[in-house]
Amino acid sequence: MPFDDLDRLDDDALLVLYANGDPAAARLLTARLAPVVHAHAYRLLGDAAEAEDITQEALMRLWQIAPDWRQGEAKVTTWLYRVTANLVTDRHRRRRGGTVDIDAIPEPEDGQPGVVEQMQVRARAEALQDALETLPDRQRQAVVLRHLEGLANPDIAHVMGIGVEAVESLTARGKRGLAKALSGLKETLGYRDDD
Amino acid sequence: MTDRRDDPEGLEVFFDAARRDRPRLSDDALARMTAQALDMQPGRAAAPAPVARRGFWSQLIATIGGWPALAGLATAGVAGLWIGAVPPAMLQTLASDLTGAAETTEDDIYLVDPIPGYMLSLNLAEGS
Repeated sequence: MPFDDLDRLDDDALLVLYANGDPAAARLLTARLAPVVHAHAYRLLGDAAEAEDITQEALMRLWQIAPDWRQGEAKVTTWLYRVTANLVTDRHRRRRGGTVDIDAIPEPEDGQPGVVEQMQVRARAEALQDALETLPDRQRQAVVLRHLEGLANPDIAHVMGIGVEAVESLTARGKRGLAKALSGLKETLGYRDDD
Repeated sequence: MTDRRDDPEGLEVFFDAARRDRPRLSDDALARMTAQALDMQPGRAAAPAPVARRGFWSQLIATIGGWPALAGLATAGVAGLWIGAVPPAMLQTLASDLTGAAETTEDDIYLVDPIPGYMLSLNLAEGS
């Protein structure tokens, strides 16, 4: 099947094609899912290199279960968020108190229009990442899934294996923690300019 | 601008920045992961070695039914040759009874055709 036609298929259908040996489906699924998993792992871990390892491991698990994947039962991304979170938890157990690897984030190119704005966006994103690191694991996961990945609460409940009310509670406490961690930075990051 | 009622903690500006400044996966890493996906893909195991082309005799033997069938054929051939060369007495008697063949050489003369039918038709065609 041509690449453009495959592009219209959802992840579920592509995974079935992958299991049937379609190499174009393998390429497209990797191009689609690897950045999503990597971003999620980075936000939970704050380390780009470790996020890369976790992405590779999570995708490897997806390819392994591909022949047994039952179409329509679960979203591929939801499944991956869950696997990613489990892998991140394993890493957290091994190392505590990690910091954001700012060097691993590509620098904005000079001379581009809106460089100042880009730098401000990056500074805010980095500040948020630092603040996320101060939260307990479950609160961080709930906040990231809700506000950065854009999942609905029932989906988050499914990913985290808890009830919707527990998700709401974790998200609320996480946001209060973030607000506290970021309170001193609002002035320096130009937050007041947006009001 | 975000409504304060929807965002009492004032965090949306940070969430928005984080969504826009998505951490980028390097091209090398993506290439490595694509290669891994292809390696692990079902049905992409190493192809079996091609079967060598068989010669005429091996094909013939296979068609007959292999070496056991060929051994049977050879046995039947030898037996046929043996019976032809040294026929058993019973078989000779049976054969002469069935064919009613002449017993004397005198009778054999009458059995000779001096001008076979096709020679006759050939001569007639040339003479005309």
